[in-house]
Amino acid sequence: MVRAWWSRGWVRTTAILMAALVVFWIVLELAGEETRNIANGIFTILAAPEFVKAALIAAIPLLLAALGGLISELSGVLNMALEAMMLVGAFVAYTVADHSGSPWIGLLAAGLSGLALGLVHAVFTVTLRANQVVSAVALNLFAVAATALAFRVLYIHKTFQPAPGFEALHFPVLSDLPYLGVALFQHNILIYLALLLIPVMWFILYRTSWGLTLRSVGEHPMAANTVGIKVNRVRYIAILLSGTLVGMSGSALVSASGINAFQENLSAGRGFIAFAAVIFGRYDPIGAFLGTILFGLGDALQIRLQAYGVEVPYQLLLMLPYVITLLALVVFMRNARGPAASGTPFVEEGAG
Amino acid sequence: MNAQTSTLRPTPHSETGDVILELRNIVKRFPGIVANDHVSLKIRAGEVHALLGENGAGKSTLMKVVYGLYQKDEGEVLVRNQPAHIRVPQDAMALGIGMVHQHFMLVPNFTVIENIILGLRTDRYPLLDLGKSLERIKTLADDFGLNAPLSAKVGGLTVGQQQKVEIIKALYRGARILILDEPTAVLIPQEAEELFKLIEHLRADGVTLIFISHKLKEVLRVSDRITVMRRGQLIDTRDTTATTIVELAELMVGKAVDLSVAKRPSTPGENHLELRRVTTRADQGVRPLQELDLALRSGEIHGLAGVDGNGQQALVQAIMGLCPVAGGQVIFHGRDIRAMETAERISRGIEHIPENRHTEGLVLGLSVTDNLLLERFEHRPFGDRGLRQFKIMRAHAATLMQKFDIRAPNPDIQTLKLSGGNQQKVILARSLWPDPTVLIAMQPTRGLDVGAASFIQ
Repeated sequence: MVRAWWSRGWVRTTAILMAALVVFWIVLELAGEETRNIANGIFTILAAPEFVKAALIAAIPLLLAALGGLISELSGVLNMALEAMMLVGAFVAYTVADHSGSPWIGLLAAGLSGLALGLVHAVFTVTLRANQVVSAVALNLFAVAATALAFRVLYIHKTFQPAPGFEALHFPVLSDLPYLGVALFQHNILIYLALLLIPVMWFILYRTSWGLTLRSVGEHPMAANTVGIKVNRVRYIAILLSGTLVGMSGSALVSASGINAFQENLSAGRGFIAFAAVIFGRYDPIGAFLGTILFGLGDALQIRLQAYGVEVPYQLLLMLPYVITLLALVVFMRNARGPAASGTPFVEEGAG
Repeated sequence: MNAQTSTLRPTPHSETGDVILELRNIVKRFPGIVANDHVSLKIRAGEVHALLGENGAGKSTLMKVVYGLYQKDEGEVLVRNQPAHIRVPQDAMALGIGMVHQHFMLVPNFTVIENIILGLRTDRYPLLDLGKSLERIKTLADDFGLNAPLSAKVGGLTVGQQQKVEIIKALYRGARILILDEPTAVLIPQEAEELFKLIEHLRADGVTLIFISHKLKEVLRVSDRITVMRRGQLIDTRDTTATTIVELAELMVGKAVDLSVAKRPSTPGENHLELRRVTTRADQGVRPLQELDLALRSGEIHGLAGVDGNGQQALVQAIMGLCPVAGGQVIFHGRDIRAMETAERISRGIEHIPENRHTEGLVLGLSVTDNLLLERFEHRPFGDRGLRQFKIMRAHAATLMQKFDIRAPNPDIQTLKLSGGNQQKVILARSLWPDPTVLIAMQPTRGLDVGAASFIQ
């Protein structure tokens, strides 16, 4: 009886949240005056619209990367190289925007750099049937080193200068709404485009022939082959699209830094979080969004705790968004079922 | 591709009897084997043509060549007397050829509709909006008695329903020549009966059917003509009305075969294995046992009948120790073995031929030798203090391959490269060789031909 109730997702979620609140309350009661003051301060910070605003800004690069990863993974090719594509994309976006003076050209170049990395991944995993994880690990290692090297070569003698970025938009009425105005309606164009991509992707995946073809290739490539779908061609297209999107996520990452700057290892593992968000988001654009917004909330919280001067080593606070996201994903989004043929190269029957 | 070509109206009678598909000297080689050796065959429009042969005779290979899944090495294919260049399945479909594979080519996670239209241009391309074609799919589904909603996930359908989806899928793509590869292998008798009716129905609609099978009785039952293949070669084609089961068996195996099942009267001895009120827990779609009593005596064959999914799997798991027994006792030679490890049970003489050779029976990526020794590679003489004795293993494997007529180029070949029937024989050899006291065989003749099936008996 209890077990049956417990197995319902919402019952479990509510119960865990309530238990957490009760524990929190008891801790606060037991703690001294000083702690209660700090807690009050933190509550004030969390209630401010800037908190949601910052969370959204931090989440968008991951969202773009996760959506990119999703396309590739639904076609049956793991894209663990999200980190590489994001980092290279960020570097290219910054450098090109800096030299050309236009963030749009930077965005385009970032997409192209992701596409190039995607092409490498596709050649390795689809044509040469190399292990998909190994190919991705190689790309990730390459990206960290290559961007660090290039950054030092190009910028070591220069004084720091932010690249031109996307301007924050101002909507009549909406941007002036109390709370919501600051939280949701004063962002730059990239953020709205990324959010718009969620329903667009969902529609393409589940309401178009092309989406069905893509998913069939990831689920049962043999069946797709017998109805005349060119499995490897579909996978190539998926990986190239994936790379382009993830590369553009780098541009969003530069923009999210607030000062449109690049630094070594700017992505700092966000690509991997996006990868996890795809899986625990149940291979669905909306699920992926939920996973990444959670990271954004954690990141925004972490920065505020640092600024507030909570006496915890800042390294621990930096860990916070990663830990929160992974824990939440594991607890609330278990039993994610991926494409059946994920990770396996397709070999046509009788090809040998 | 245009999905509108098939309206399933009966073809004018003049067409019936003309040759609709002709194969001329088809040769298909695989490394180390000639799967099709100069095969020439004429299929007449509107007939049900059976392709009969043992496992590995080359029936499926031949038809995969026709459907564009394999590339022929030599020979010609003519469709409606025109030379046809079929390189990919799409070419075959454009010529009105459809194929229902032995292992269904359906995406379990997709709905019936999604599977049927997969890869086709929809009416409102690129939208998945079906418009008028939905009506056609509905008509087909009703016509062929698909008792399942079109929006149901295929993975949840029965095997018989899935097969119907495959047939509808082919027809919807305009198939006028339909190849059925071992269609009854996965069906229970009632479902097979329904399939035969469906075949009649299709023939009445003017569809030409090629029916691949190794089962003599059903071939005689459904076909107009029968072509027998053996070891890659075409032996002969007969009119069904002018042949007999004995003649066909002889053509198929290449020597006289005694088809009568000689069953000696058994002289049951004491209880070897006894199940007392055994209950198991429901687990991942396996129906549990509820207080099952069963006694197996020495020397007897205990038949267990029942439709799939009524506890057979749980029974086997309980006996082999593959799942915990929640209540009751499993008694082997007077001793309760509920706590005994599976490996221990095997070494004490309980053997098991699993239902599904791919998922439970074999490690397909390993060699034939390794699979033959899967249960005892650690034990002497095959393993010695953790080191594997390859010479002894290979010699053992070679002996078993000869004894059980496992046809493979060598014992080191990957098991997945063997034909289905030969894979099954690997399992048989593994479980029969140690001379077990108790042998649990789930559907042991699945995918076996006459020669091999008679060997089991």
